[in-house]
Amino acid sequence: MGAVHAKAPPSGTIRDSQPTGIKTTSTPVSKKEENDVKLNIDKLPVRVQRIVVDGLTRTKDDIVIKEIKPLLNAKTFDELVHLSYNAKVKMERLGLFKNVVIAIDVSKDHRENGYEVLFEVQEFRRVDGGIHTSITNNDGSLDFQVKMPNILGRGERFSLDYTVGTKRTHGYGAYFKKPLNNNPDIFFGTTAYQFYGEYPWSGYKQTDRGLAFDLTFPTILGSHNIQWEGVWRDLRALTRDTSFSVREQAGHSLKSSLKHTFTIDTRDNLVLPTAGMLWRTSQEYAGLGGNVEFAKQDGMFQWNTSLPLDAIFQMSLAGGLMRTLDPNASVSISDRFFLGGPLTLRGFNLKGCGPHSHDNALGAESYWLAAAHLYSPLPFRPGKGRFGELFKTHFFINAGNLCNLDFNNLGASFQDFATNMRWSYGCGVVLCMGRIARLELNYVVPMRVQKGDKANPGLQFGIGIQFL
Amino acid sequence: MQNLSYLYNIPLFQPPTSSKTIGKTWGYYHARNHKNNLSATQRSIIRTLLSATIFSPSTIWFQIEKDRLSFKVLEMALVADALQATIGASEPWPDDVLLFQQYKAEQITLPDCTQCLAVEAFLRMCGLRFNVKCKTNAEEMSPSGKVPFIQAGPYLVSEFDPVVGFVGRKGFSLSRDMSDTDRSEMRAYMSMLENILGNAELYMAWLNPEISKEVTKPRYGCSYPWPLNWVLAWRKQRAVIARLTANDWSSKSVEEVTEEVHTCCLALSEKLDKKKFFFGDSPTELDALVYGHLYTLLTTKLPGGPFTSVIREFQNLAEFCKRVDSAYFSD
Repeated sequence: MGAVHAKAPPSGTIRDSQPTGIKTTSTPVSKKEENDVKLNIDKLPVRVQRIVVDGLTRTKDDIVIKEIKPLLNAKTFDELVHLSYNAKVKMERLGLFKNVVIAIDVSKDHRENGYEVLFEVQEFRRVDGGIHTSITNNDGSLDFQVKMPNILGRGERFSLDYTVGTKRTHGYGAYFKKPLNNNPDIFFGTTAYQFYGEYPWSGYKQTDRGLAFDLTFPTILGSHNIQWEGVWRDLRALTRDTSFSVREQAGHSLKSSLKHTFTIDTRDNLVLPTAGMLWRTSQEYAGLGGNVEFAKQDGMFQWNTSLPLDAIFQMSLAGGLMRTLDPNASVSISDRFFLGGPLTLRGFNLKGCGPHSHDNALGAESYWLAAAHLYSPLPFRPGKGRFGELFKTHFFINAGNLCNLDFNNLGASFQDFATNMRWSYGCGVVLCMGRIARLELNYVVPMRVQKGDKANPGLQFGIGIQFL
Repeated sequence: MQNLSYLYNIPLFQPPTSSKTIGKTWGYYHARNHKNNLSATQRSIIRTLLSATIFSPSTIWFQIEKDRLSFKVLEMALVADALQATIGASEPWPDDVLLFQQYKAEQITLPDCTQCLAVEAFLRMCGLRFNVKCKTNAEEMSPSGKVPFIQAGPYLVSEFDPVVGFVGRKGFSLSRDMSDTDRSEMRAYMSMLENILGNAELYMAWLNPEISKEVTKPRYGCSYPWPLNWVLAWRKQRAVIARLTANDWSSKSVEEVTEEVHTCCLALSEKLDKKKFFFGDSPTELDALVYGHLYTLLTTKLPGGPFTSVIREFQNLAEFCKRVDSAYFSD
């Protein structure tokens, strides 16, 4: 913020000078011949004498005081406006208030350079709720949520969810999140949930009951998340026709795992970015108690760049590797990698690549996937600047492979990995839905298909939040 | 129910609307009261139902009130089992048949053990090739959620009655040469076994505080890590209690249960008399089932378990178990 140009109001009333909610009252200036005065308030010395926060009911004083205390050290008016604005943004991001309006005024006792600041805050309702629809990969669901923002007065947030999906999936969960050290970017979360899901591509159904604790914190490079999860999984065959290889894995398992996720996200949009990159890697170690033991490494990278004529080039790479740490057991089907689908390896059915047994995808312990997209606006630009911006046409080529590595003969395995790959190309239309989901209608030509794969040449429709 | 009655062309007498109307099974009724007051038509319908092996005796429940008879079919999954088995009937007995059950030494509980042993005895009596495969998750793998089950080619058949039905369709039966009267009598005894000994075993294993705490629950949960071991055992116990409550067994005292077992053994002992097997010189399904139950009860050492002494009272039953054991389980 540079110079603030204040216009002395004819009647001396308060008015909004900025859309950010800062109200400034012009300082009393000596009446000049012209009504308009240009006043450089950058260097205007101030001494903050009083800060009033109005509207606090359940928010604790200490957290608010901590946020507004820096204002007392403001030396110039510019600094004061800056600090006030920062305090407002931070308190809103901490989830303390729905809205904060700042009013800066000269102090009542008319001391020289004396100011007082008034924060008019509006707290959230104690209990809020809602029903909304959400989309996971090729599955829609209806979510009922009751949330209690700022439940303990320091930005803690508690929510209860109930989800019913289209594919007979349903689940409920409770989530509690607490910012640490008054920093909205560092937070501790805990969740308890139960979820029932059906996985028809693999012919099983599973009930998960779990408890997780996680800590999220930023570093100069990116954001880290460390999570411990304990989950009891009850896996059953979905139908009588389920392959015996899947049925054999039925039963109860208890996974206790530690997972670290590292994310750098500089994209300007989650669904159709025009610039920026995403880097996400995660390491999971299961075996801290429980009867599931494996180590898993997964990662993805996406890079976007704008080209002339509003075109965008996007390149994505993903890969993962896991290994069982229990010599007597292989990794369960619910932990394995799968490949294929209308938003990942296009041209194949959902999870349609890799080892199958009687039409049931068995998954594998490693995979790689690469995709290149060239996006351009719709031909003839209908709805330009409005709904037309939600649509893009794209040309793509994607390749990938999924197989089990033989750790005793890594050289040959990796050679297999490269030579037995699948790839396809095609074009289609992408629709961005609600800034997180994506809908694609593509015409795809699968070029290399391996035995057992379920290819889906021609038109393919996909909807979801994860894509490559 | 509508579909079934159409499928088998059996007239339905006022189908019960809720599961609360479950009364005594006919087999139980038959064994306890020979002066049955069923009409000839009713008896013939019941016999038709029972001899159509598509149903197992324990899946049909009858209720007799005055001159009305109502019945309902339980566990439709078993009917599906049998139907699937019918489809697979034309193929010969495969070489690689596996009998899945839990680990005998560490894991299996008393009621499951009797079932597994009965199926194994039946297959051995039929002279069929099979291998026993122990899996800790056999119960969850089973299509009906109960052990044991057999895998024959692409077919999975679980529990005693469906296995008997499946094997029968492959051309092996122990009761083929029996008269209709004998066969229905055998079914009555089998039904009695399942309803008295089956429930008594569940009662002893899961409801007796000492046995459930010291033996059954630790065994049931032995293959799982903490805290799943006690959560799953507790869930199973609740399911068994619910089942026994529906049967009016959970309110019985140990003495009453022992008395029931005694009555059952008395009936079996009288039927066996001095014969080699229950129906003459060759074994039947009933022999396999009796062996499964009695051998397990005789050989399992449970704290304070009173059944062993009850069964030992009947010398011919103990000898029968030894005879079957040496004839079919000698390898």
